[in-house]
Amino acid sequence: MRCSRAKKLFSPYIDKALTKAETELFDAHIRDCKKCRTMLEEMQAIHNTFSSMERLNAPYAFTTRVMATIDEKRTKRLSLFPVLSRLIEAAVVILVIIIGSRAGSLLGKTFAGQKTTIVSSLSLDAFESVQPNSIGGAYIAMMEGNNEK
Amino acid sequence: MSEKLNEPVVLERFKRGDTSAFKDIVLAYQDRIYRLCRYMLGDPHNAEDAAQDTFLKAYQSLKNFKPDASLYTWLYRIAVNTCIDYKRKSAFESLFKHTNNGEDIIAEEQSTEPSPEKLYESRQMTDALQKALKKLSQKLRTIIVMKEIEGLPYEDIARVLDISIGTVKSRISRAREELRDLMKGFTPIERTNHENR
Repeated sequence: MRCSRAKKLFSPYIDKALTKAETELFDAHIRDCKKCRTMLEEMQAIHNTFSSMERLNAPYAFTTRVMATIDEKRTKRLSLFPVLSRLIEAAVVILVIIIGSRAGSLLGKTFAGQKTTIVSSLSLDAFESVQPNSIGGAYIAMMEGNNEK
Repeated sequence: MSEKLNEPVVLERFKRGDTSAFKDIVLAYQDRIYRLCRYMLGDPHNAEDAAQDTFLKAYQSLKNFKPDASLYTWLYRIAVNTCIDYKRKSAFESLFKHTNNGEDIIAEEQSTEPSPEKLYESRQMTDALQKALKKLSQKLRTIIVMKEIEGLPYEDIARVLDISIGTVKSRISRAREELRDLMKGFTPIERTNHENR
């Protein structure tokens, strides 16, 4: 094995990711080549230092703080909900009014040429006269009597 | 706290609305996520903020999480992206003000117990390695921390960083070579050579 090839295998060798055959060839080269052996030992020393490095842990009460922040955000969202629902209600009412007025103006334009028909269809003549012995007739008679006084 | 977590069970609990399920996730992964942020960012306060943000983002999108990857791989990915955002932000801020260049990454977490000569040497190596780590590019530092400190397999690193396994291997190899160059004179082999000269 050449040094250039061996150098490419330093890292997978450290990670024990070489095949058995590759490992044997690599070991043979390392035994014979002092330069490569030194380089590998240096890399191995770095790898070992990583392994012996103290593991940093999350600060005290980290989970509590994360959960508190989540709760805070959730509460904020919930407290905004009534305000939002009021705003949505108001928006719906405004929308209904706008749609109503638009629809009204469109209908007005549609019936613009048929004014007479509308008027005649809405004429009071369309109503039947009130029978004097009905409740309506009695009411009208009473009102007329009041007016005469 | 044990880091062993039955992911499918805890995810099911979360989907059913059990808020304590997320607490279990944070407890299980807080150290690994914090450590990754700490090594990527250096500053302990920024690291804590980034780790917190990671979990907040995870909480917001956990309902959409598809368990085709493991939960910790998914969390790592969020953490890496969050740290990159923090880095960008601090780079932008440093344009306007002088900031600490991250020298405080080292030493403060180290044990103060009295040490024999070997322990002292190992401390020196650790210090030198931490300094060398800071000099690596963001890409190489992230990958070497995942490999050497977190012990993630190549496949998981590839999934977290969304790169091929070949790229993972070549970056790890490059990171090791750069660390070796940066630590010339600190590795025991080098020291012996220097002393013999």
